[in-house]
Amino acid sequence: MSALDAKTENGVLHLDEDLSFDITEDVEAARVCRLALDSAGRIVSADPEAIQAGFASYIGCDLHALSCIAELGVHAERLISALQQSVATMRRVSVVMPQHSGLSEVVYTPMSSLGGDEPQVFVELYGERFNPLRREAYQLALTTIEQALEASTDGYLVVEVASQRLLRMNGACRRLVGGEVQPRLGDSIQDSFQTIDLTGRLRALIVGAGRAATKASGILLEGAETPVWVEAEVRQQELVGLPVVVVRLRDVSAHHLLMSSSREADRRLELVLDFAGVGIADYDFVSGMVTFDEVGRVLRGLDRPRVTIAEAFAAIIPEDRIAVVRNLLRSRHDGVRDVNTEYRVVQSDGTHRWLLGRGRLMFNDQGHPVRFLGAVRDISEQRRTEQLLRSTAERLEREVNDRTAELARANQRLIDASRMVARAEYLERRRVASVLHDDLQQGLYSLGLRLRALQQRIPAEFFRSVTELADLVSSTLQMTRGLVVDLAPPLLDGEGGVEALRWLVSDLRRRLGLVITLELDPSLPETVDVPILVQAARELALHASHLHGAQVLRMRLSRQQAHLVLEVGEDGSQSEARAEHDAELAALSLLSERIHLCGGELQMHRDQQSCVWTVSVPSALEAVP
Amino acid sequence: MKGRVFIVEDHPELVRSYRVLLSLWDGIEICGTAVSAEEALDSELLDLAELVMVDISLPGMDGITLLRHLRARAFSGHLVVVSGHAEDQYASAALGAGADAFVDKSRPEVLIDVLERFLGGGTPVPVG
Repeated sequence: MSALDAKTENGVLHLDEDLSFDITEDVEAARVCRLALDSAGRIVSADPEAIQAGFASYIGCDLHALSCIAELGVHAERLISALQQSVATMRRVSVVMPQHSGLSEVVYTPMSSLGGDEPQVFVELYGERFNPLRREAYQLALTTIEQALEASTDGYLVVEVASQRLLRMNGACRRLVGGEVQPRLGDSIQDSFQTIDLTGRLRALIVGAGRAATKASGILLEGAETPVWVEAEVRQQELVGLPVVVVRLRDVSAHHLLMSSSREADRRLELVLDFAGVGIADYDFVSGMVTFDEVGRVLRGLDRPRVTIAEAFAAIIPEDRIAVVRNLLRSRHDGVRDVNTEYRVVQSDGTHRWLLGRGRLMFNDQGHPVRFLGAVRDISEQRRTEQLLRSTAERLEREVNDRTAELARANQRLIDASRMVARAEYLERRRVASVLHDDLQQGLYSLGLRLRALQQRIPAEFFRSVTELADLVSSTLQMTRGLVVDLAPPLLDGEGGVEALRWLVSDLRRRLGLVITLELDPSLPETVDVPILVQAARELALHASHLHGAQVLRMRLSRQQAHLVLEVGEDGSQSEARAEHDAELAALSLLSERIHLCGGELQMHRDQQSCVWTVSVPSALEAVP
Repeated sequence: MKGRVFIVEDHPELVRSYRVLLSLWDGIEICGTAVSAEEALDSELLDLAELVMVDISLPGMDGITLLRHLRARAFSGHLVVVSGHAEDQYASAALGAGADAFVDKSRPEVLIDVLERFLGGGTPVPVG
């Protein structure tokens, strides 16, 4: 008996090439065992050889049970058919078995004279498989193989070629196959692997291996809840004269999943790149060639996907080409990996396309750049949008500037108009005052003089009446004078605002008893002349006196940047006569409106003790003619 | 009262009123009138006057300036400023320019007092 060595190396089972068993030296080439069958094909008895061959347990069973014996395999049908023929004809039938079946001949001999009611058939099975030594070797070989297979991490199964029945399988294979129904030894592989797809290509592979091919791979198994992807490799062997196939099943699920994920990722990336319009460019500085994908080729306007670096750069318009090359060289020199650049390429129709190129330089072990892998994207629309936004922003800015200038001009016109209104009002006040002074007052003066003259010449009884008339004229004259002063203080004409304020302070003291402290900014020239400020000073002083009962005031005239500022404040001693805020605003509304028309403003700040009014007007009002 | 008076006043009605008032005294003679300072300075009658009544507000040269001119040419008569402006500033200016008196037009009795002070006293002449 030859040694049946089996070992594993790197998970691969190597069986000795020849597992045949040479029995010619010690035993007969063929042995025979005998079974007795009834006409129904049931085994009724077995001789010692048959019992030794394992048929004892089949006594009482239908001859079909023989099909359960792996060694008979697919030949059981032939044997049953021959049996039926023998019984039917009551003639001896001999069936010559193929060599790989382990039988040489099966002979049926109908025997109706054995004393039973039913005819019996003696079955004589001839074959070396019934040689005890061979059987022992066969079992030993299977045991040896089984032990060797169990040591392997790969799944192994041994299948008899003739019967396609499973002879052995290791634990790795059981785990790999999984499922609730584990394959049983002796079962047909057709029925063994219900949870995996072994019925198709693997079976064909096994059958094919038994006939011609000895090795195959790339078989795919799936069907479990969690698909198990295996790679099957078959190898034909002779096992004590019987052809078997050793199938190695290797779990490639992880690899398959990885490859599947990779393919999926590739598909998604391709989809994304297509949708995003991103092209890929691969610059090989060693070969001097650039390879574009289809999108990149189209974007760059090239007629083929692989061009020289020089050809690739030639597609860039000259104005941008130098910048792109310089950018790349700078990155190459500085060892900067990532490069971003924008440039234009010429399209077939002569127009330009804006591209954004982003890529990464790859360096060899010596630090030299050997490759540039980049992506390129069409940003023409973005550029056009940016340009549109820029032009829109510029246009809006111009419009805003124009509008602002227009508003400034309108504001200036309004200020000028206000000045003219203020000036017109001032002139009108002066005109009215002049009329009052030159005509009415002079008439009253004359009347007063005449009455005084008349007093000297009338009889005594009329003197009193004339005197009363003269006094009435005098008081009327005083009232008219006050009105003239209110309308147009005489010192406003040509003496300057500073002198006018001094006069106002004096006049208010004389007429109303107001004590006013006047502070003048030393930087103000004496000639500063803003009638509205003097008018405001007078009206605010009268307001403080009449509405607040103020008797002591302070005035301050100063220049603050481009404004003249007049402050009129109380000394805080007249708080009991303080008016309500709304009444204040109403009383000063006309003054505030006049100041506003001049481009200025009137503000009031007050607390429990005092009140301060601040009038601010543009210094330019000084220039009003 | 007695003396020659020159009146510088641009309002004719007021000049007529001055005439009426001054006619109360026989000794007072209105030697001349002018409606402006320039006219007064050009008038030969001005130098005959012993008293000049000057209004401050005049067309052209004002009364204060006229006073300075008159004092500058050594006018020796009395200069009385008669003004519709009662403010102290005007009075100060007038007196500073050489006026002998500053009279508020609205007070004719003061004017009479001033005239009496400079031209002598006397009772106005009774009506005819």
